[in-house]
Amino acid sequence: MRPDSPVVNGEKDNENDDLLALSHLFALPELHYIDIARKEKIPQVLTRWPLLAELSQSAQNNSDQPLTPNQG
Amino acid sequence: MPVIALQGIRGGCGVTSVTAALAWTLAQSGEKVLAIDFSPANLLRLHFNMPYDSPRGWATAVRAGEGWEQGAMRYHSHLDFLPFGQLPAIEQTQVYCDWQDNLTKIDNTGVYDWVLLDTPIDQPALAAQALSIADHTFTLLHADSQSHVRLHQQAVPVESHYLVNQFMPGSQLQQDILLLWQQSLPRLLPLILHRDEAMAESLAAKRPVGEMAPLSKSCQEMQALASWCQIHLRVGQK
Repeated sequence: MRPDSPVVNGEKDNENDDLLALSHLFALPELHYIDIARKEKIPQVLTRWPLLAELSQSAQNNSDQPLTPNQG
Repeated sequence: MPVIALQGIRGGCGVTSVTAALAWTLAQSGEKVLAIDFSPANLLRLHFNMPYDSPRGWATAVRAGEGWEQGAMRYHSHLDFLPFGQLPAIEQTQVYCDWQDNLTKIDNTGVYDWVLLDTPIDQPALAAQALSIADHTFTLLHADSQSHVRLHQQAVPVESHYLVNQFMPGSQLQQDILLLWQQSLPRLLPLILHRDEAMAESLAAKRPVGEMAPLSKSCQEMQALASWCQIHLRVGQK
């Protein structure tokens, strides 16, 4: 089958339709960091691992401005 | 007939092994199960003892102008599977099949109690086809830093459940990340799958873990996962 045949183009359109239809079904995961720092053991975890602390802080800073979902 | 899509938050999370093991475990409890491979890697079939050299599968059949059903295989009386099939790389992205229509046909047969979808993370078009027909999604995670970063920046299917796989309780970091998720990540399943050599061996043995190693920790954990599915997902379908 030639790459520019109508059937192949149709398949690509269908794929694009699929991706379009699915795009609104994706979202960033909800991470509920509210008050988490008060929970037992969590402060030690965040002290132990700087990356986890940074992500926790970033999520709380951006809680009213969600990051743009990366569909990749 | 609940349809569950299983997908990793990245590659290598063990989705195919868990799909095969869950399908087998549900079938063991007397339910009829169909497992469908949406990944061109075409590995699910090897968990069900299919010869490596066989090109058979739904995508292969579609590319050959035949019906997707031609790719179906039977493992035992309660467990059927639909391999993706072996296709050259250039053809793998050119497979289109109306899975909504296919699923309606599958449902209308009245044969299956469960349909499980082995869903790739690196093939957006094929993943979209799988996710569009799923009632429920399990996103598999390793309790590691990379999965944690991805949870902050990578879109996942809305209302996905999360399932921790290959957990290593001896790791301080894994313990800490699991604790953090248990406190902050909604819909994290209340059961986790531990790292178990039996699960790794199951692919080499070409059999689902529950069949190959019925006394293993993985087999017990798959029974817990199957029970969770039966309690929580049987009703309230899409």
